[in-house]
Amino acid sequence: MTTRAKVLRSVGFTLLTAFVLTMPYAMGWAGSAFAIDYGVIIGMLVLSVSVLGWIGEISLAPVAQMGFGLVVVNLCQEAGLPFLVILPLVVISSIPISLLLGVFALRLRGVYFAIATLAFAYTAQKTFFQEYLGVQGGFGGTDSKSITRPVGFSSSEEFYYLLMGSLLLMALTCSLVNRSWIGTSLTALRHSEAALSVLGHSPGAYKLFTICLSGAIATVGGAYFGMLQGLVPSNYFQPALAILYFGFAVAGGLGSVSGAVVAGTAFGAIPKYFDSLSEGKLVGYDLFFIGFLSLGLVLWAPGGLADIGRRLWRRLEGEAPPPRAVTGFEEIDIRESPTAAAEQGLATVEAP
Amino acid sequence: MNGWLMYPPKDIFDREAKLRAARLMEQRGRLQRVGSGQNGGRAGTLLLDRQKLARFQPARERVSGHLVDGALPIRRRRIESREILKVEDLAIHFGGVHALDGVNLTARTAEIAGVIGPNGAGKTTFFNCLSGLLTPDRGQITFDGHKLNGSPATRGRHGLGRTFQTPKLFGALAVMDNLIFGCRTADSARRQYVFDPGLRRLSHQERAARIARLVGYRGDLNAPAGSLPFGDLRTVELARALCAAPSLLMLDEPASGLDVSQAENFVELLRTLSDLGLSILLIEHDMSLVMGICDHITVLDFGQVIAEGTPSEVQNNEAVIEAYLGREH
Repeated sequence: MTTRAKVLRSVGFTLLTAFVLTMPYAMGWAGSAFAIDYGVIIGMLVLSVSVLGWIGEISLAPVAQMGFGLVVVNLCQEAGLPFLVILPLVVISSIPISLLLGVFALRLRGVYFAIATLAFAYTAQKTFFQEYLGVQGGFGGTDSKSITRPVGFSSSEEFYYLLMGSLLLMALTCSLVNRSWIGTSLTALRHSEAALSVLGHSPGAYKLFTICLSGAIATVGGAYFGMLQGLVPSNYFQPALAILYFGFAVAGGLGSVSGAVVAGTAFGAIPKYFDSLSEGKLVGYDLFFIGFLSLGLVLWAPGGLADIGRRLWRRLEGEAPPPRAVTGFEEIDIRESPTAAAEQGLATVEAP
Repeated sequence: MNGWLMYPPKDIFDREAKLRAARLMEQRGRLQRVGSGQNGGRAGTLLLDRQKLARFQPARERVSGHLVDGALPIRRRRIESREILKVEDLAIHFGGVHALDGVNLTARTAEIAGVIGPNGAGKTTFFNCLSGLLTPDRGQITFDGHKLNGSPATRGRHGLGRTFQTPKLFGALAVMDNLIFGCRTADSARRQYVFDPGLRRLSHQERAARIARLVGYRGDLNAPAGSLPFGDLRTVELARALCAAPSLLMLDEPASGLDVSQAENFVELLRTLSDLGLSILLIEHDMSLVMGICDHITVLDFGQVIAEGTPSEVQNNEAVIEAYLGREH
């Protein structure tokens, strides 16, 4: 690594840390810290969707899993359990639901799996959530109880640090998994499930692991969402929202941990700040701008924010930027796309 | 014209082009036509390239104490041949098409068995049923004395290795990582390398590097597998299958896309692996290669076994000639 790169990395890391630490206050001019809290939770949701990209699947169930997390927190708080006990219980409680979805993943692929998860989410929303959360909000119908924030994190600013710490921990865990042998196996799985399986490796085990990891992130995100909102009606868990979060994940760079965190947090927080800055006059237009931005990213930078960031960083370091990613994964089958492979220096293409 | 049998026309149904090329080679004394008559059969020929056959056949006797690399410390051992795979009454259908219909086959250790047949005969389907990628409608597969059941992963861990008609390497991963997948299976399933028991003592990297050299891969082990030329894709896929320490290796058209010298090395490698005790089941369209190295050949047509026996028996079998070349009008 060159000296310039080292200096740039140190400066970049310091600036990023300062920004993350002061964000609720630094963004005070645009709105309350509630907006960034909301954004961080959406960041968790988008991360959970993006992680599923590792197995090449699209799940539309994270919003439902989020709802289950909220219900578990309510039950645990009613039982008087402390926050440090509740959080591991929320993670553990996500496993049965994830395994149920995993059964779909073992039998279905691609769009069929996505439809199955959508059906699961609608079923959960129309039965369990409406019954348990009520349509208007609160728990147990008329006998409403709110979910409280942990002691010491009651204000939005304080709660932000808990949320951001959790999001960074999730991102770190995902990065470590992605860099481990499991991540290598998941890359292999995306290339050829048949080849991986005849080599003696169980694609099902890797799929279940990834779905459980994704489910745990979404469920914890749901638990925090309950704490942030206090009272949450069932219509907050509309399964169609998962499509929006999937769009955010693609805009961030599907499969990219950092891209999901940045895109989720930004796209989650910006509409809230937008509403605040426009004093409610432009409510609803936020989605228009988010949609427009996402469309632009998908069209001109299919690798998403992660790819843009990578290329920009390489330029700043004084190195030649990597070729533009064709997909979020930057994996190209040279037999199917020799030109794209040649662009990435993976193959040479002879003139016809 | 030399490479015609090695690189068949892309349109496999372009029989006219194949026949024109075959007639030209026959005129030049290169081809030996087995059987007679117009080509009324489906794609595929039973034309043998004499020069190639001459190159492949002596390989049986030529193999001595070392392998392709020459530096590998593998010594030949005398292996008792025993039955390792027995397939009985295997059948599978897709809609109204009976892809396999009552197929029986036996493979033995230290032998190379060939499965041949015209396109659409059911050869790859047969491999897919054996490796668990397809579930047959009926039939029984006995492997190494046990009934073969379970997922492809379970079968892989039991020692059933295979390669694919189109190499399925993990393109974004380095060649070394591809090979280590096999090594990890060998270790976790506690499998011994039939062709070199000493390999188990080596680390994954050393083992993978040695097996890569064994199959004749001379390229960079850290190169992305997706960047390899087609011939190397084949050799690395073979190395990856060997890294998993199989007892039975199933190769689906392993020589297609290899140049002449690669094919010669490949034939020599297969014979040596077989001599060292590995059982090999081979699908191959290059008849010269199949006839040159196989100990036993099973011929499929329309999902049924129409002939089996030694190469010379199969070459002279009327049903085989009819299936490949068609009857004279």
